[in-house]
Amino acid sequence: MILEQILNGIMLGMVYALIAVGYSLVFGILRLLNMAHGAIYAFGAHMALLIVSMNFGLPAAFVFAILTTGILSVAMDRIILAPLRAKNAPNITALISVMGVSYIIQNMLMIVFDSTKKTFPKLFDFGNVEIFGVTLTSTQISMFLIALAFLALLTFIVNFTKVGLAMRASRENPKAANMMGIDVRKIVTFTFFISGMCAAVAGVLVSGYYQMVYSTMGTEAGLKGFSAAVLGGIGMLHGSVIGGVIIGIAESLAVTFLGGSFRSATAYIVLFIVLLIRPSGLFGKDNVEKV
Amino acid sequence: MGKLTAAYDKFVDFLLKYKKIILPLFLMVLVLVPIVIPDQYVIRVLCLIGIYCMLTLSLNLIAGYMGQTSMGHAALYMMGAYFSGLLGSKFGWPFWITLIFGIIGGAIGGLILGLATMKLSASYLAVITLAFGEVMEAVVLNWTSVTNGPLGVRNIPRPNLFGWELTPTNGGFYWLMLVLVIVAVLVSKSVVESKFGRAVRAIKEDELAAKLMGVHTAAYKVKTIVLSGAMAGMAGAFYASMNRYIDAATFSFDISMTILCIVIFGGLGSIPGMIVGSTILIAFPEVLRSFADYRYVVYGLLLILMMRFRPQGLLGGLSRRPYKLPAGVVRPGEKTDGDEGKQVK
Amino acid sequence: MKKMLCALLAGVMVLSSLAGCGGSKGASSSNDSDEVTIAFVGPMTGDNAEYGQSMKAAVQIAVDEWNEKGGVLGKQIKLVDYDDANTSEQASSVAQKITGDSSICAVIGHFSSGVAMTASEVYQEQGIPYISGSAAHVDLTGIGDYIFRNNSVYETDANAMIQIVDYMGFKKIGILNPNTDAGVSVTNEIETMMEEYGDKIDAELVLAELYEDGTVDFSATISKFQEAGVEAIYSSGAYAQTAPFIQQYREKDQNVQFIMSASCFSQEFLDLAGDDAEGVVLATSFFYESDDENVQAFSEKFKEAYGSEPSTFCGQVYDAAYAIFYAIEAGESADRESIKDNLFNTDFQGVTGKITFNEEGNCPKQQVLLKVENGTYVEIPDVLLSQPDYEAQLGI
Repeated sequence: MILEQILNGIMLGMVYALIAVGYSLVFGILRLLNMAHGAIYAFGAHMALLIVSMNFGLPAAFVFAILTTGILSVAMDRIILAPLRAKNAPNITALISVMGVSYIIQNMLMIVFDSTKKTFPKLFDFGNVEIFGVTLTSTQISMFLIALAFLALLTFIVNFTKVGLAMRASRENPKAANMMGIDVRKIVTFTFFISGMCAAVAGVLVSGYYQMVYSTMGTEAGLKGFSAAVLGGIGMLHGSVIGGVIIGIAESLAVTFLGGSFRSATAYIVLFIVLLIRPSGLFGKDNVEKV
Repeated sequence: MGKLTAAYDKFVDFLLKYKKIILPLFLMVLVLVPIVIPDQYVIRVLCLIGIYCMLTLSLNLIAGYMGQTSMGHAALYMMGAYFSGLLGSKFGWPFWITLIFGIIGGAIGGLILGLATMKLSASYLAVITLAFGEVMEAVVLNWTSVTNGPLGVRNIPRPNLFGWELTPTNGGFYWLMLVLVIVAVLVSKSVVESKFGRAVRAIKEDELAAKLMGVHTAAYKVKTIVLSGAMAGMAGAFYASMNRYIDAATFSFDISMTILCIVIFGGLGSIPGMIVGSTILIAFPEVLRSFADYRYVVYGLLLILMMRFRPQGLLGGLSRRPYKLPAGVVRPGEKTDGDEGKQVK
Repeated sequence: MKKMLCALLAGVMVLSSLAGCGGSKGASSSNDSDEVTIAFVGPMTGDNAEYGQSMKAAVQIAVDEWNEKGGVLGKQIKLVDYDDANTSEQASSVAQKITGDSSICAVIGHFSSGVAMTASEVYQEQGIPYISGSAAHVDLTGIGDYIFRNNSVYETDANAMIQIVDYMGFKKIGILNPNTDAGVSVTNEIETMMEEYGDKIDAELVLAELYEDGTVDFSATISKFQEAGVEAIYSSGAYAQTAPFIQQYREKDQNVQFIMSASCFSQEFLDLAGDDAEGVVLATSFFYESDDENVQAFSEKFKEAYGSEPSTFCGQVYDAAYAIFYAIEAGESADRESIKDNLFNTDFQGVTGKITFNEEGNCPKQQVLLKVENGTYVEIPDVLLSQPDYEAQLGI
């Protein structure tokens, strides 16, 4: 029973991890909590739904969602955040601006796609698999594997490619990076594109997992993903994954031992405690903010 | 355009010149509203605006003066409402006593938040307040034996003043709201102008420098959040008694965001800004009901445009006000004008 | 100081604009106007807009039908709608706006229980009859004599669930309800009823679970139900939560039986749950394919106006509108108090069964059993009895 619940928790945790990496990528470079990420994730899911409902098939939907969501994410940065950076505005102005973006995206989705919950096709179906006497469904397993592969790819990009090196350099010290010939502007744009792409991938995968798309899907998932990112130490990719899994397991165990009405509270209490002990998260570095 | 601004300036000058007459006159007009306009709906919307004035003044203490964001302010509001509502509904205590407990309830919420975030930086305060809001909602929903869980609290008593029951209909609630908002304004004002307020603003400008100057930053942070909680609790107690029924769903994340939006819109750190912001953002959706669909889209645009072109908000910019010198000290190059110098604003 | 004055000025402006829109109506007394106005309030925007808009369409059909017949008391009926976005805060302002408009004689609507509770305090205080077609809160009609409900109370739902279980012969039952006023009340009621019936029925409640409203991942809950070995699961949650629950459960277990409430009687539920909805049974007071002529006529019109089959809530608000019109005719007056008094004497056959309000203001509902077969609902007749009849049959 406990083993089964922990596995359930890990599967759920991967959902949160997928969303959490989007927060981490942006925070890593800009020190910005991108509160619009949840709404962008819902946007990605809706774009995929749009193509699916026109019968172009899932692969086309996937590509379309990634492109449009990436562009939306970049547009948000260029139109709204870049001018603020140019003015050297305090961090809180950017935070509030992205909240505004989040409001707009979510409510436009609600107006355009109306408030009903819409069905999304299941991604994979090859029967159930038994591991250590625990039955896992095909959606759970494929979700887990794809998420893992995707996260591995991201880690590879950030840690082992030239772009990744530039991203890390910009994160450590944007000015120095600029002097070394790195176009930090381009790197920021690229990061926003990747982060939007992550949101779209998460949106499509999660919609396929729960077979459901709706305009407010980003609120709850966004908050949990955000908490996962903070818990793991925001800005750290592996931290986001582990943070997501911890929150997933915490929720799963809360449902088991306390009941379903305690799940979110437990997740947030875990976050609370971790932040009290380690203010910058499990894997975070201590220089989170200039003091 | 130039003519218009000149006329506006002239008008404001006129108001300023006779402010000693106009201000009390306006207050009197406000007091007379329920008698002159006996429309219950107008009165109720004004009461709602009053509630948001208290809530935004409360958040303004944290966001405006200390420069930190709270995304779970509705939780403090809820604690005030539940503390006062439960005591009133279960034990039949009179409103005036439950109001005090509502304020204490909000302050307790603030204390928990303050202690938890004492050592954290600004971005993390947003996270913690968010988590706090969700946890408090879960507590209210699950602690059924005390809070009545999802069934909510009913039959919350109305205030009674020497045998006269205050209701939203007879204007009593409106006058009570005026009194509470004035209290909130006076508290905010006294905070800004005290040593306490200067210390808090020093934390906002540069925490490290404040520390080096001998400001006990952590203690000031906690005190500010407790005070802010108490003010939100007051708004909660008022809401509970006005509507007579409360449940956890009323105090949602959306409320937290609305409060934050108004504070930003009105102008971080500006007391009149909070009042103007609440008035405009709460009354407009009521006036323009046909725009209801786009209400939050407009909110979003408002936030973005404000941040881009007027980050200090409608009436913000208070922190750039020159430091008020003790009486008798004259800033070089400034002419001494007794009356101007003594102005609070 | 300048700013303070600006603040005051803005206040004056808003005050005058509010006064303008509040004062424009008014004076026209309900009796000598040439129209009878009723109000519908519901979430027309926000994430529950679908409910508000579909219920409004149903009320509009009732109004149109009466107007075709010549209205009430020879006057045409006017329907005005208001948006409460399903929030208590807006609901109380809207309620005040409605009660302040003396041309409006009765109110229908509000979606969630908590929202309806907040608004009802205003309706009762100001004395305007209000009928809810969807709220399930225990204490709603207890607020006062102006508050009515045309929705099954939780005892009826609980009893229907026990009858279904008894009829289908299941022994181990699980319950999964949302942690909301309705969910908690139904769960408690089922527990008490099961205890009361004791050995008279075979079924045994092995696990009662709550979930947070808005949950979409039920894997942990499902493992708990499987561990407990339940044969049938009852849920009174909204379709948005029950559909994913059923899908996720079906992936792990093909045999368990799902018993739902009227909340799952909608086209959206069938669309969302897809093939996994097959075999689901539910109890509802309204069935759009019933043989009843009125029901067929209503369903037809609703489909034309709104584009989908009417849900239970739609049927219930439609009947609520009829109840108000009958009450106006009976009292020969569109006076608020007269309507309230006459609502207690309502007695007609609506699309959701016989409409009568008891002294509490509730309308006892007779439910029918439906089963999902080949993607549509099929009625299983003559299974569900009223609670007293069923208890008599059990010998209690």
